[in-house]
Amino acid sequence: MKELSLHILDIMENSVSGGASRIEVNITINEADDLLAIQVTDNGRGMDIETLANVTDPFFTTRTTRKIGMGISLLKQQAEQTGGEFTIKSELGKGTEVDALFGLNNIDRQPLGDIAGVIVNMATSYSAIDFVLNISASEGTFHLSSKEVREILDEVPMNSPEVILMLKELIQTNMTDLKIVN
Amino acid sequence: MTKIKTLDDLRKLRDTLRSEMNIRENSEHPDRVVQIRVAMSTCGITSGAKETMDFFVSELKKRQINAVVTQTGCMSYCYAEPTVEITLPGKHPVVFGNVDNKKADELIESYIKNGELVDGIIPINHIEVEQNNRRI
Repeated sequence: MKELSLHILDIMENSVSGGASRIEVNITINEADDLLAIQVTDNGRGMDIETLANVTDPFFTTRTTRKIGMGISLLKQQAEQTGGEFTIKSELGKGTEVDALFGLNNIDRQPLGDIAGVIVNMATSYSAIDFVLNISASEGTFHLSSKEVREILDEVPMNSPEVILMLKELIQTNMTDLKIVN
Repeated sequence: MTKIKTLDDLRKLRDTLRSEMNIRENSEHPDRVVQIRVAMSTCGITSGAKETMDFFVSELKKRQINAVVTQTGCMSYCYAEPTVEITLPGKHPVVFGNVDNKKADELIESYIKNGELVDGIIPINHIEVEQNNRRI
């Protein structure tokens, strides 16, 4: 995976498999401390201690179709190679929180990529789940909840190409205004 | 189209959108539109499934094809990612493997527009085999 947005997409897919009804993505850009924090939290079924202990092992997965699960270990590797850190907390029945901290200007940090695209693709694909995006940077903050968008759209289907492109544009315009560089 | 930046802008555009969609009558009848599902597992993402999905979204709009594009979890065809399942109205779903932008273009022109099957179909035999085994 060449962009952080794709890692976020992958982690969110885990949350979907975990039966979450609310998935929150928080991106914090802290220029002063040279940090980029990405947090994905969900209210899914969570993991027990044993699963949690094995989750960063690429040869561990709960999936039954094949024996490896690379997603989380790939993100951990990306965070650590920028001098950052990776933590994952989870509680059965409550949900999971994934935190990845990156050196913002580290040469090994992957670009953010198409954050707008992955959030909108998720939100339009899984209509029962509320996807929340929070971006915080020195220029200000941005918040979007797919549940709010759905309420505004009323019966206009969110997964039609027109709406998908429009929502992507909404997020992108706001990210540009917050002067978020890739 | 006007630039939208806030949810209020979206609210203003809603009525325009609604009238456009009513003409096309796709909202309440998902079975009447082409449905495309892109597998978005780790191996799919790594193979470019997101690019494939974005391509479908923008091209279907450009070519004015009535369709709904969504992503889904692992379809367990790791060897053939990105995989895409296309359901034409009234037909059985067909899964295609190794769908990059070039293949997606071919799928839109041949299969979605004209119903002509193209190379790269992933047969669903294994499901039938499983069902047969269960019967035995």
